[in-house]
Amino acid sequence: MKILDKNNNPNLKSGYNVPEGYFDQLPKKIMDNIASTANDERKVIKPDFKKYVFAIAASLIFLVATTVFIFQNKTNSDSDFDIESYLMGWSDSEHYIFENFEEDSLDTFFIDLNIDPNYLEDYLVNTTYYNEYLIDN
Amino acid sequence: MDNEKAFISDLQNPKTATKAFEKLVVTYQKQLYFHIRSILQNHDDTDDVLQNVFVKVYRNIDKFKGESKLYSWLYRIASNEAYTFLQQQKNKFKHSDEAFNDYQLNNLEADIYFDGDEITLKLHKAIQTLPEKQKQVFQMKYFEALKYEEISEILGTSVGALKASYHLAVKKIEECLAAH
Repeated sequence: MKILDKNNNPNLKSGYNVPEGYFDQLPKKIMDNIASTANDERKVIKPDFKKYVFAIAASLIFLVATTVFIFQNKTNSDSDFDIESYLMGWSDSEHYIFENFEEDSLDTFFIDLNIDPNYLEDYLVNTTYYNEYLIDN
Repeated sequence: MDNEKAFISDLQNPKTATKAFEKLVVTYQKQLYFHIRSILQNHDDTDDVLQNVFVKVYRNIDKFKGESKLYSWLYRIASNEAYTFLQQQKNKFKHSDEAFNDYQLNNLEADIYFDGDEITLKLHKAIQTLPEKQKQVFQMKYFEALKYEEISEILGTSVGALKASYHLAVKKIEECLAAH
């Protein structure tokens, strides 16, 4: 006798069962899932952008500090201090930022990094909120 | 599904996408659930993977060009997700494939959403002994009642090869059931 023949064993099924009402509730669960993952994706974009803002902020601080340092020590211009050698210790991105500030305008800088200045402003205004969010989560 | 082109167009139109997608979920949720369940066995894992499948479908519906039928595209995504999940489980398990199959069977037996009797459980044990391709074809044909032409479109395998796989699978399972 063929055991798998459905005429011989009509009740031979998979035995897989689901909780009561599972398929009634599933569409809503999926739509909620889609909505929540869409929110997560939006949240992910901001921390990525954050890297650039911190790099810019750090570079600006360094630039100001370096300028002040150079002017304050102008009388010692014959000293062995070599700003270029000092900058050799920087990362490539810091070099890039520094060089662009020296040679190009701020607008060029934003274009090179593909940053919308308005977005940067908006971001800076809301930075506290995102920091709090990141710490809380 | 009647007028599939119009339905796909609704899915890809931002104005009608949400409503059309809800219809897609309602239409295919059972088929895809039992397809994934036959690979993963366990209800909770199936539920997680099925939700991921629909999220992926929603996000990638614009990439669907209509070169294959919608159901076969959905089945392929479901298969990929289920097998990726299964492979991750196997990697975590760190034992032989046989031991993993036993582990899956024990999970199935303990699953409160499995109501098979003794013969059903024996059938599942016999299925676990099959090579992956035969297992897949057998379950799609026997439990999901798909036609060879449909399985062919989903798996990209010729109907002749599928018939051969199914025939071999049935023979092995009959032998296995007769021996126990």
